[in-house]
Amino acid sequence: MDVWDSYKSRLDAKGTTLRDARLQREQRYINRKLPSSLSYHTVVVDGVARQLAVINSDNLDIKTLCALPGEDILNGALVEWQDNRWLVIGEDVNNEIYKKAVMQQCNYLLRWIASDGTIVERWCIISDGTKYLTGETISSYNDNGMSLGDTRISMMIARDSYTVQLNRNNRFLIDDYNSPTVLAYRLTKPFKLGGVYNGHGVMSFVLTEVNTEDDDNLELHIADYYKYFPRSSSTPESSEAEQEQSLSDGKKVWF
Amino acid sequence: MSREAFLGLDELFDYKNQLMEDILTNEKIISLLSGDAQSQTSADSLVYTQVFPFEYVPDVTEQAKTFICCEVDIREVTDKTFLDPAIYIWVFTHKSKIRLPEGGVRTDKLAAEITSVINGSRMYGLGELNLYSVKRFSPITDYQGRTLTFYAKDFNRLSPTNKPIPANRKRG
Repeated sequence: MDVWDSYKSRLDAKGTTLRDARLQREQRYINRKLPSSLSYHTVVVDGVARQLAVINSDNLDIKTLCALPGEDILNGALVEWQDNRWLVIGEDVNNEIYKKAVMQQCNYLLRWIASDGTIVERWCIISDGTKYLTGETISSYNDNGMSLGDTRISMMIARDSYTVQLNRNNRFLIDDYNSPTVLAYRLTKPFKLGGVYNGHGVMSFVLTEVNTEDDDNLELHIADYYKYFPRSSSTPESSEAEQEQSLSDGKKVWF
Repeated sequence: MSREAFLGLDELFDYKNQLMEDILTNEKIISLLSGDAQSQTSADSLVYTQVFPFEYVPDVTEQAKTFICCEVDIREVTDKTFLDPAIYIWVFTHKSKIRLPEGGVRTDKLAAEITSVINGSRMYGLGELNLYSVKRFSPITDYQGRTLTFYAKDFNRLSPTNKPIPANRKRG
């Protein structure tokens, strides 16, 4: 490098244009000042410890995250901070100076069994979808007939290889883990596109209350658990002799 | 039986009481009412939780269960001497419990068991209790079953009733 090149690179170090110079000055300023801010915290993002600014909002369960210039925050990431789990529910893609995202406090650890038999756990945000309804539905057959629970809730959960497989066949047990009774819900609105961009983000589902079933594990809060992991004291099944007898009658049991 | 018994509608209690006894003392019916994975439920604990002596399941149902409800109507009073009671039995279960592990449909089997116990029974009124109809029944979303209807015959009242005669009534 000759003298001229050295001189030019020294000039370009702070930006080749006025805009670049302003951009770099802003980034340097943030890099220098942000770590001394009271909002600057160590948080765990998707299992990795990082330093981010966590900025309060009027909604106590929603915070804004700001990263140092050049660092990224992925939409749908799980943040562990202050003994709580938070879900990144939105990101600003305009990250020229720094990356900004919004996170919301999670309130439930959802458990279910995926189609490959894996027990999956994901933190999510459960909220009431029927604030002013009674939460009960009456039989259409008879006004004096039976009634079922009709609670409808919404669930925000990060998109990943397991949650993207969720559909209307999925049931969940969602309730306080100390509650003596557990409510079951079925995914009735598997809308997956609302908050997902470029394969990252959160999906907002609507779930409707259904009855708990015999195959549900109410202690672990996992629906259909015993379909995959049969009880040790197995269900009463017909003996081989009974099966043979039913077949020897000439009539096959089809259902 | 006391004279008063032939003047009131004791059938409403007597029939239901007999029916509850017939249902709750039958092991097959108790087994079908219990969950597949649960241990055998005691008969007493089923009363007003899964077996109801009226056409109503009072609590909000949160757990998939099988229910039996029964009701007694007086279908027709044919004359001063006889009346025609009808017994209605609703058998219904959650869709997750419809299919039996050994094959078959739970509500069909329950309907068959109940019918085999009480059809032709002489414990309900005069003569034999007769099956009149078996129809499909779906009380609410996710629940399906059958309605069994039985007809009986019983006494209306004794004649004369020995009720007091008003003082201003002309007497012959």
